[in-house]
This record gives sequence, structure tokens and C-alpha cells, in this order.
Amino acid sequence: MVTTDEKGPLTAKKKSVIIRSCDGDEFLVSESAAVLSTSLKKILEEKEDRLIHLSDIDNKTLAMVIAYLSTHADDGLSDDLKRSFDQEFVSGKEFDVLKYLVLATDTLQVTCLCYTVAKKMADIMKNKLVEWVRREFDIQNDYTPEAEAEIRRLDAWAWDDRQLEDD
Amino acid sequence: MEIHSISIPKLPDDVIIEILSRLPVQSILKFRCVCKSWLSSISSQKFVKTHLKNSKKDSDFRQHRIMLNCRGNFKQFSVRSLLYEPIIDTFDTNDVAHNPTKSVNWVVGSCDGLICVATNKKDLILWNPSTRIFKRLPDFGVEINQSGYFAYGLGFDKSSDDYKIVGFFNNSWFLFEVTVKVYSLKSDQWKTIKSFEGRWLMDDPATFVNGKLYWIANFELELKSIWDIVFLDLETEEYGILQVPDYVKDCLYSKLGASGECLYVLCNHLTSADLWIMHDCGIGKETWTKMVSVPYNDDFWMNSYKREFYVLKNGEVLLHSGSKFLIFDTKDGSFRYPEIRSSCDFMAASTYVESLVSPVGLR
Repeated sequence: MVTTDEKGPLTAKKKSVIIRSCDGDEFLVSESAAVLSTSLKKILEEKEDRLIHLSDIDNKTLAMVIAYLSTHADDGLSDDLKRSFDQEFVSGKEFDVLKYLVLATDTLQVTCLCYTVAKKMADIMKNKLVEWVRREFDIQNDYTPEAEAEIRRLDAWAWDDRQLEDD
Repeated sequence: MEIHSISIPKLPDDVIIEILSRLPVQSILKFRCVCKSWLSSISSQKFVKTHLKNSKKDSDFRQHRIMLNCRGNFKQFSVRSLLYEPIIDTFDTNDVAHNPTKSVNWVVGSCDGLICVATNKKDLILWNPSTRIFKRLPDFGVEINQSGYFAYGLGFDKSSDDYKIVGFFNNSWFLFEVTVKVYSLKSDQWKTIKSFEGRWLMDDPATFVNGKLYWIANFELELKSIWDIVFLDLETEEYGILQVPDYVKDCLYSKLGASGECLYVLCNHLTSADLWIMHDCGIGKETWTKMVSVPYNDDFWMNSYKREFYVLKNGEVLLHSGSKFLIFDTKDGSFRYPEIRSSCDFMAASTYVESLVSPVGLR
């Protein structure tokens, strides 16, 4: 258990936890960063153990999430800097990488990052074809050709991409 | 080369909803044909509400849009393009204006992506320009004669989960002869409610903030007279008056506006306009803070700002004056004038958010 003495300002800064990815890599993370994840916070409250093993997050994804958590736990950074870090963080990332990330943020319950990644994914997919979306989300088309044509007819204008703004 | 050591499992439904609810409406309409379960998720009322919430908070203003009324023709574009692009393209959106040359179309309310348009004063249409669905409202049963006075407002009543349109009608010069009607989208009916007497409601459309419709209200039918703000609570259908302090209302021309769930008053003086924000401190107590004083610029022959649209976090204020938009930077006092391509001398401009809210009920 965490005793009151250990919560002093000096020791709190130094306190850290080890997080292990599913492929065995270990990351040393300050507790202040770790608790920004609701799931990690709960684990830390429940057990004394300073080693947390995440069985479904790989090392590359975990490294990204931890970079995010550490930046957001840094009191020395202004909100503006954190916001631009967030933009930088998702920019240029491939859709596949974002899928791993959004899953990890869902598992770890890092709501803010989950929203940022979801927004980026929406921005990437908004102009894509339905076939691209099915492929990326691994979805089987369960419509009959007639039923699909009917839905497409319903809002025929929506298929005119000139109406959609680019970035 | 394998990038990740585990294969991607299927994204859970709640994560998919987080992504889909951040798409523009047009993309969502297309992606209904991805599969049956997406169609069913997207069509649910829960999704409509989640999408609306995200649309309102959209920090890069893609889903916030401006509708121009060009002599009855409607054109729209995103606030993002207005803020970040030097020249803005507009999109014609004329689902409701079938015969703009023969009729006068006027936006009389905007709330949650729904726009209420009045054709020739009294034929009302509830319209979602993002889904292009609209509905003609039943007649409200009050004659408006040539000199008749009327004012409308559109808002959302959380308690009954219903959109309501309020109309004030008066065909005489007597304030006690005002008829007030409320239309409920759920019941698709108008009903008469208690009238509000003793004030003229001057601005149209009403400003909707947090369950209440607000109007500037004068004691006399003259612009430069004593004014207050009248509000109607859409849940209780009770009226109230916001007493505006003298130091706020001492101006030539004032106009209400809303940005981020806050009520603003734009007060035009001789050489500048002051933008005041009202903080509601609960039970009949309000405080007023002057956000900024915007000087008039020589470029404009008309020395007044018609409306404030957005007060941005970075200190910029988006205003409308004459047939132009301008962005005033409160930090260094500079102006920017975004140019709108193929624009008309627009008569009026309204803001709305992209939403899936249906003007006809469940689809």
C-alpha cells in the first residue's frame, strides 16, 4: 500500500512503474504519467506491484502511448504545447498504426488520446470509397446488390465528392 | 516487414462509433452501405446525439458552417475555410428555395443543425442542410397582414427531447394583441401559449442558448430606445426579462449572439462596437464582462457590425458587417478579410453545425 509519507512532493516525482508489453519489452514510466490512463490507475490502486503486464498491447504501440502520457503528465508544458503535440502525434501515421493505437487507448482508457486518434481516423477515411472502408475494418458486405443500390439511391448526392472539403 | 507483433483484432463497436461519430454527414450517409450493422448504428438516435455533440465541439471548425442568404438562394461553407483560407468556395444548397425569384426566403432559426426558413413571412420549412432533408410545417393559423409584425425562434427542449419553433405575431400597434404560438416537432402541431406583453421583440431570429430563446426587446418600436432582453424557457414556456445594465446597453444598435453556449451582446457605438458576454450566475443574477471593443474600419461604409458569430480560443472574433466577414484579432488589434468566391451581396448569414438530426422524425 502507498503510505502517506510516500506521497510527499519529492518522492512522488520519482515514483515510477514498469509496464511490460505483450512482446516482453519493459518501459519505466512515472506514476503521474501512468495514472492518466484510467485502467492503469485502477490497477495501481488495487495492487502493490509496480510491474504491470499488458497482454494485448505490442511494444511499438505501447511506446507511443507512453510518450503521449509522459508529455501530458509534464506540468512544465503549457496546454497550447500539449495541443500541438497531440496534432503532431497523430499526423502522418498510417491507418493501421492508428488502429493499434485506438485499440490500446480503449484498453487503457486514455480518453483524450482515444478521441484524438478517432478524429484522425475519421479525417483519413472521410473521402474514401466504401470498398476501402470494408477492407480496412475487415467487414463483409452483407447487403444484396439490390439493397446496396437502394441505399446508394437514397442520397445520391452524397456520392459526389466535390462537396467534401479536403485538408 | 512486420511492423507489429500482434495481428489487428476487429475494432470493438464502441471504438467504431467513436470514429464514425467524427465524420462529416456526407461521409456518414455514404458509409451506411458498408454493412447492415453500420446502417443500424448510424441510424440510431443515440448515434445522432453523439455525432451532434462531437460536431459542436469540433475544434477545427470543419463541421461548423455558415449559410448565406443571397436573395433567397442559399450558399454554405465551413467556418474552417473562413478562418484559414484566403479565398473561400461556397456550395449551393437550394433544396428548400425552389422559386427564389418569386418568394422571399429568410432564415428564422438555427439549432443543432436544423434551420428554420420562412417563405413569404409565414410558410415555414424545417430543414437540415447537411442531410438535405426538409419538411413543410403545418399552418400556424394566424394571418399576417402587410404591416404585421412577427418574430420567430428555434430551439431544443431537453426535458421533452423535442425541437420547438416559437412565433410572435401582431397585426396591430397594440402590444396586448400579440399572439404567441409554439410548434413541437414531436407532435407536429402548433399551440397557442400565454403572450408576453409590454415589449417589442426586435431581433429576429431569436438566439438560442441552453434551453432558452432570447430576444432584444424594446419598449417602443424605435431602434434607439430603452431595451432589455426577453427570454422564453422552452421547457416551462415561461417568460423572463434580463435586466441589462446601463453601461452595457448605452449604444446605438445592439444584436444578440451565441458562441460556445454563452450569450453575447454586440453593442454598436459611434466609433466602435463592444462585445459583452453574459455569465449566468443562477437565480436572476447575471454579470456582464466586456470581451473586446472592435473599432470600425474605414473599409466599411456602414459603421456597424451586424453580428458576432464566433469568439475563438486564440482571441479571434468572427464578425459580419454589411456583405462581408471580418476576423478581428484581439491580441494585436488587426483585421483579416476573407474573400468569398462567387459570392453575392448576401442579405443575411447564419451559422449551423453539421448534424444528422432529422426534421421529419425517425428515418
